[in-house]
Amino acid sequence: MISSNIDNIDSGKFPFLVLTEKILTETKTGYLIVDKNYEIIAVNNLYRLFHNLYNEKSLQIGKVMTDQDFLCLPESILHNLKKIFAGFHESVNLQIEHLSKEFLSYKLTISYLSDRENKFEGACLVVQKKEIAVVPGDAATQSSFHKLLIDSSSTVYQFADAALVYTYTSNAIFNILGYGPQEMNGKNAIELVHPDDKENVRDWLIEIRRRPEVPLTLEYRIKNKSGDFIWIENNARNMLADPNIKAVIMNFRNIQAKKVADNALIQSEQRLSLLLNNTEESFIILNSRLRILTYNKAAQDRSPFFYNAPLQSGLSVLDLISRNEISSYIEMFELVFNGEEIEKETNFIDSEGMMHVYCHMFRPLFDGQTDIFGVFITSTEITERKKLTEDLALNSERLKAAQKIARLGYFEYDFTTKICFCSEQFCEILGIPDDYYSWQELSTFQSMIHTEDQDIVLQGIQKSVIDGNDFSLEFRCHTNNGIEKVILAIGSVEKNETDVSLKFKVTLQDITDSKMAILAIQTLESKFKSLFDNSIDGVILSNENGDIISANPSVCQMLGYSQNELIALKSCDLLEINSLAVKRMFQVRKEDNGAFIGELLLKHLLGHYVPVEVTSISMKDGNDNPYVSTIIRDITEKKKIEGEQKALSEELLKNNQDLQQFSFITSHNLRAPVANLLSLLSLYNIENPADDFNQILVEKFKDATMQLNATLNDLVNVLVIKSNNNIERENISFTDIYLVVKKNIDSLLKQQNGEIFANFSEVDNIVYNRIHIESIFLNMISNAIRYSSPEKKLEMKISSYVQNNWVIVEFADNGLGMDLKRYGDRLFGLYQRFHGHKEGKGLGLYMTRSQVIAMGGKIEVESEPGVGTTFKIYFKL
Amino acid sequence: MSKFSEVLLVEDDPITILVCDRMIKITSFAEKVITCENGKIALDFLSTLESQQLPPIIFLDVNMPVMNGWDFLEEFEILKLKFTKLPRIYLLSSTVDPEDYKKAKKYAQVADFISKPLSKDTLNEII
Repeated sequence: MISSNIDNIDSGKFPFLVLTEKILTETKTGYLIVDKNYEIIAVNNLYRLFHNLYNEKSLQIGKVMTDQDFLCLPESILHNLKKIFAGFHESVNLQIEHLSKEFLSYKLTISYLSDRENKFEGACLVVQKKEIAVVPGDAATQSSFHKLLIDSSSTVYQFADAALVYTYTSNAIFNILGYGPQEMNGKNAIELVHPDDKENVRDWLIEIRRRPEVPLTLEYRIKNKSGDFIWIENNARNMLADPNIKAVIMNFRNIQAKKVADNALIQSEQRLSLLLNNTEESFIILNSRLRILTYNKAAQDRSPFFYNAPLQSGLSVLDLISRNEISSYIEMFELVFNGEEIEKETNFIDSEGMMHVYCHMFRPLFDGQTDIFGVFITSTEITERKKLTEDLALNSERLKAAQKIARLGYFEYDFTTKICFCSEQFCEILGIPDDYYSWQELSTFQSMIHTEDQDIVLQGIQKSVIDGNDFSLEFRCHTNNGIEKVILAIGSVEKNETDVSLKFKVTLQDITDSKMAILAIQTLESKFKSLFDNSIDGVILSNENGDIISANPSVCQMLGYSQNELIALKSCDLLEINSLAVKRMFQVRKEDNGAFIGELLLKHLLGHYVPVEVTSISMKDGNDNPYVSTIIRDITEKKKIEGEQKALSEELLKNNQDLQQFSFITSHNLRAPVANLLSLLSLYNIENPADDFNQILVEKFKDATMQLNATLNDLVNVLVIKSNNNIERENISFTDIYLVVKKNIDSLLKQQNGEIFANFSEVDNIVYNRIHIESIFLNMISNAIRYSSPEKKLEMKISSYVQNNWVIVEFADNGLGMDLKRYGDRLFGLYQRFHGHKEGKGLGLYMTRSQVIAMGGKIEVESEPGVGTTFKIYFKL
Repeated sequence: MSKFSEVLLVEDDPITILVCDRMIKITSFAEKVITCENGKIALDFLSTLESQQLPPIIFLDVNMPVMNGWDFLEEFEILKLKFTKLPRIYLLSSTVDPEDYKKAKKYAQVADFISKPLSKDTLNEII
């Protein structure tokens, strides 16, 4: 209506608002213009008067109206204003009645206003007081008009006296409760009230009487004519003190529909509450001061499981938790009040010792968009879930650990999804990063296999695909970090019923170390074998019983057996079991458990003994079985050399003794004649040279001097022989020498009537010094003649022969002979004489022996008194 | 008056025999000198005697043919068992071998080792 008025105004002549103001004031119209934000754009005094009938707040232009400004105004005003802003209506007409000292009726029109140019959106509220035609008339007329108005209203108006008995009831009651007004009048206000509400109504009525002129409202049920209880909202005001009224004014209206809706809401709330209370999940709502606002049954039942005390509204949650947890909870609630959702797990051990795990979700409760007014806590028992999760994790951990311990890698390839799975250990073995499992290229792994082994692997897997059996493959692999490893892969191909390959599963093991160890052992074994077979030393392995288990070629050759023959023997078959060395060997091996090192004789197949050096040790093999390892070295050569060395050193010792003896004897033999000379000199009678004895002494001087001279000559001869190392050698015939010597002593031989039989047929020639040989022959033959037996005819045999690298010339006579036991050691000594014959000086044999030794030979003698003597001269070949 | 009644000289060298005999006479060491040419002769001689007939002093040469001084001493060890009173034996030698001096000490009968030549002083020292 207003908008159409404005549209028709010629805006060029009058200012718009002045004109509007004028028109509206003239027509006794109040107006209020607000924008969509309830800011007052325009208002006039007439509207203000209307507004202040209900509300004391003053309305100023520019003020933003709040709910406070609509308080006590008829609800329909704000309700419809909102509807208009929401676009439900363009315009709404309302009839507003106000009853105070006088009955007033207004027409209120709310219209939507918009101005596209100014982008204005708002509403215009226009109020006009209805002129009641009879108002200027008499009181009776006025009263009947009022009655009419009241009777046609949907609100029932009642007057009650001080005893709260109805004195007047408007006719509208018929429409609402079905009673006639007369039926109500005379009844007490408490009558017809629902029994459940009676107490509330009584309190309300008491309050009304106590507080005059204060409007008080109560909702309660009242019985209608047909006996049903109807929800009403009753407004009462104690006007008993007003002399014009003297009654309690009550007006009520039917709010049954609203109550039904409320009930539905309550019921739905109850259903929700039922739902909440029957769920396993616990809910607790806290206010901003962490006090419990509400909670469900589950929370109540289970609260001991995660809080220390039973739940109760109004309690602070901080009172329910243990002291040491408080600070951590406060920190957490601070986060929640900052808008975060927090998840927290708690453990609770029940009276039976069972552990329960709960998961609590703390969520902020939003009021509108940003304000947080509380916390919503939901709690769920996750003991089982947790256990399952942990079991799963544990199993997978166990599997992982097992794989790790076994150093077993696992690889799976799904033919349908073409996805590889590689276990951690698998990656480690191949030296590939953990994220390799995302690789879907089988060829990557294939390329890591050593080129020489790729065929084996491929064929092995293909065979497994065809026959369905597991495969076990050993191959070399270049790992990602460049190490060559030996891999043992065991796996299978999984197939479905129609023989289509589904999955390829392999376990992988790094057997490099064991392979290398085996290789090393094999190498070592082959080295030992070669050592065993090629050793110069013999090696015999025997068991505890002495059975020969093993013998190397060297020992076989040494003892003349074949390997099989030797293995058939016992070690004692080879030993001189009673010899001291063997006994000591057994003792050392047995008692001291040590190594016997010593020299033994081992029996050769042909029966003779082979001198050996033995190192024999009791040992234990890998299975702790005892065995004896014996290393045998043939020392035949060594023994021979040792023997020669021994003989040589003995001879050297003897030579040395000879030399010493020689020096003693020469000094003795030189001293003897000198001593004689000195003695003779001391006896010489100087005072009487004519003494007869002096004459004898002079003769003896001559003898002694001669003796000294002879001794000196002998010594010189001996020294010549002894000191002359570079003796001239020539090829000599024994026969020649013999003939020369025989010629010299032939007369002597004939004198003794002796005979010599010489035979040099076996060996006649020798490279030797002629003078020595002649001297030896002369000495031997002249000795034989000198010491021939006076009772027998001298017979002498001279022969030569070869024996063990010696040329031996034997001189055998049948002369006096000697007791060698008595004289043997002195026979070849210087100046040793054994017969009383004057001719012997004890020099001949000494000279002979010296000559023989000087040429590297030796001399031996055999003799028996009265039988004869045989000298053997050994010449070195 | 001589110191001893008899001396047995076992010696093969004639000059030594002559010298010793003369020395003993001059120094009045003994009234009578019996000479044997080697150990064997001396031993044979001694074995014919009774205890009281034994010479109290024997001068024994070492280096002799047939039976030397050592052999004699060896044999005398057996022979002496038949005697109640034994002679003192003086070894007479020009040896320089220390072994000989050691060897001499083994025989209880050997009183001393006299280095040749036998002197008057040496004889005077023997009481």
